[in-house]
Amino acid sequence: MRKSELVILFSTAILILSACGKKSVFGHVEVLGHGGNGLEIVNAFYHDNSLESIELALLTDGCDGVELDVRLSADGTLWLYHDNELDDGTNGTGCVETSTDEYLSTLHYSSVDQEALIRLSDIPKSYLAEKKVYIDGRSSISCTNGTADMNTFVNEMVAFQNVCLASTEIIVETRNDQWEVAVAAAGFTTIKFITHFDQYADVLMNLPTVDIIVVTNETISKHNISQIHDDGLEVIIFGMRSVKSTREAYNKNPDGILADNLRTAIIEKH
Amino acid sequence: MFRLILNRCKKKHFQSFKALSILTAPLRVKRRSVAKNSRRKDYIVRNVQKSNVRFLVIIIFISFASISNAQSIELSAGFNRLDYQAGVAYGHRWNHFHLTSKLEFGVTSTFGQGRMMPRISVGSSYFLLRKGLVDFGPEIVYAFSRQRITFNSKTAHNWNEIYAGYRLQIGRNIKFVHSVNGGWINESFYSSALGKRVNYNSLGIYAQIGVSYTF
Repeated sequence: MRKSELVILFSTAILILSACGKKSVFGHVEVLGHGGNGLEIVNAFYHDNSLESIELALLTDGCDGVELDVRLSADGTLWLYHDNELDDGTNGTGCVETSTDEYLSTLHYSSVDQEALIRLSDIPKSYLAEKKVYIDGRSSISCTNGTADMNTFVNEMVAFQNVCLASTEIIVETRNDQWEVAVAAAGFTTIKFITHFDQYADVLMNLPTVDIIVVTNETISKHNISQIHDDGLEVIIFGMRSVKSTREAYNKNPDGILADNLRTAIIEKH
Repeated sequence: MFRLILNRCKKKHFQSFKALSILTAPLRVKRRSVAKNSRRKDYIVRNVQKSNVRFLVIIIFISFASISNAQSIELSAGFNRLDYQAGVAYGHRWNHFHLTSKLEFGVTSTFGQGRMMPRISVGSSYFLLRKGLVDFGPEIVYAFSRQRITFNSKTAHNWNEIYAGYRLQIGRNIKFVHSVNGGWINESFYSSALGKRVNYNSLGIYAQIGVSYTF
């Protein structure tokens, strides 16, 4: 064997061994699947907020919970749907908030597997045992430019919590400050989304009931997160799709991450 | 009769007789105990069996190689729904029929995250079009990949893929290779929560480009 071949062989072996030896442990950071098993990403087999996607995420070893987008139907039932209008991602038209349960139950996503739209109550409660359920409560109705009924939302959330197992932790985010206060008053752990750290001071001042701050990875630094921790609040980061950004997010020491690429996020943690 | 021939040889060709007597003379056997002889016999039988197996493998390999029109080694890069893949393939070709076995690794997982993700695949294609330097035809592929997600190897995820598509090869000895396949992908793993194995199915795609050397 020639010298150059030996060098190539040796460097390849070193590369593989060094790759195998890498270990990043961020045991305290909770990994939550964004919309189930990931939002609009090719690695995720199923459409976000579908039963298949949620089940796959919850049963994957290392997944601590899921983030779900919840909307109230015209009949006052909580349905899982991310986009504003049904035309955007399903075979239906209009909005969830203006549609009846009977109509919504006939719809499916316009994805390759054509997963059905589901109610929040359709998720098997046993799958949620010892998991965190991050509810993103959507208050605005784009079809009417109105707002969904706050009391119905809160009552439905309480009803859902009552049928869940005691080990299931439900945390709630809404973009509506009024809803945020009402949800906190109902006894839920509440989350506030901020687009930039500059908004954090306003949240502290106007919404003292908030327990968790959720923010994109790009707009927050490790120092900002440590400031939030000093105030006794928790931080969840989202918006990571690559290995690099996921690693960056872990290094900022948040309390949780919303992972679009769930497998990457779990591997990076372990 | 044999003795007669030997006698004639003895007279006419003394040297040849010497050679023949070596062949016909009884073998000198060392005096050994029965047990030692039996052990030696077993040892010889085992070695003969081993060499037979080796011989059979060599015969199969040579026959495969001799009846195939060409063999090839291929370096390829591709992607599926799980990761980017890079690997090496070994191919056999009989006229229009082409058989490939391939070993790949998920690039992001293996090198980016230090978590091995091997993918083994076998594929066969039938070149309907063989014009000049161009070979083109349908292809079917089966692939299996595996990855440990957490420290617990019991809950490692397995993926089975069965695809159909096309394969294109351009070149003489050094060929540019390209294939696109689509089909069924299955993810299965042991769920600690349910205490059983779970399966999830979806549609998948696999596309690759590569360079092969035919010999």
